[in-house]
Amino acid sequence: MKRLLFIFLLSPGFLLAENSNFTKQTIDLKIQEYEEKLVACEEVESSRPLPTDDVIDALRKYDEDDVRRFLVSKSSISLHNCTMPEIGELSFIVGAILESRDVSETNKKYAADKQFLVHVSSWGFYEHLNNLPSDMQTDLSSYHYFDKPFDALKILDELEIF
Amino acid sequence: MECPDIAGLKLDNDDWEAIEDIRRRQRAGNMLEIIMPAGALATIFLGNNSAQATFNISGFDFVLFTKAMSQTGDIVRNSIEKEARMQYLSPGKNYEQRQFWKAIYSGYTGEI
Repeated sequence: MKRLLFIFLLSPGFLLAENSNFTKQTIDLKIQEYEEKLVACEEVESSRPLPTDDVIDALRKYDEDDVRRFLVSKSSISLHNCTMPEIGELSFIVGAILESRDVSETNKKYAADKQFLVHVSSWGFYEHLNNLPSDMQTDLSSYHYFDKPFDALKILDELEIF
Repeated sequence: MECPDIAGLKLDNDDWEAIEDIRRRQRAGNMLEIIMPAGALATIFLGNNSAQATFNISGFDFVLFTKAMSQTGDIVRNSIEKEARMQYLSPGKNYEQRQFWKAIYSGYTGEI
């Protein structure tokens, strides 16, 4: 009986089942860690007060469209940066699974869905920031208020920009 | 912030592509279609819409949508908000389109 059990444990089917479980469990664990960090960062975002008057005055100097692009993009990137290293670990694990030759197509599909959720739309915010006038980028980068998550809509309301 | 009522919203191809991406996120996450209540937003996000359709959306629809999103999991909700932020910044949108995407991004919870 023991010999039969040993042979079963070494069979390819069993090994594949173990691998499959391990892959999905690893993704789920990394997702859970990222989600917890995301919630904590969103709490920082919603609880921060408006920036001081000097920051508001600095924003008022620029075109409304540019200010909207700056605030919404920068707040998205700050939130993203706050979720490091968890989002980085999740991205790495998902990338490694997608490139592995030892992972089933079902698990690759599972990993690809999660990658889509985490990454889609993100790059656009960097593009928006990069396309802003360079003097505006330089000026506003000196205000450290924007380095942590912040509520862009609250500031847009304060500036009366739709 | 008050939830807006939007009258005569017409979505362009770019908006519909974003909505299709949001549907894909819903499928990758939990089951928004099961818990999403009926209303104009359910028609937009879950229906089989014509690109020519015009929508009237009440502030209450946005409250219901926010409630439905809160049950999809934080990663899915954040991912949908990111898409809405990008659409809100997208050039060439008229007032109603921008109002629509800003409302999705804002996540209204009750003030109507």
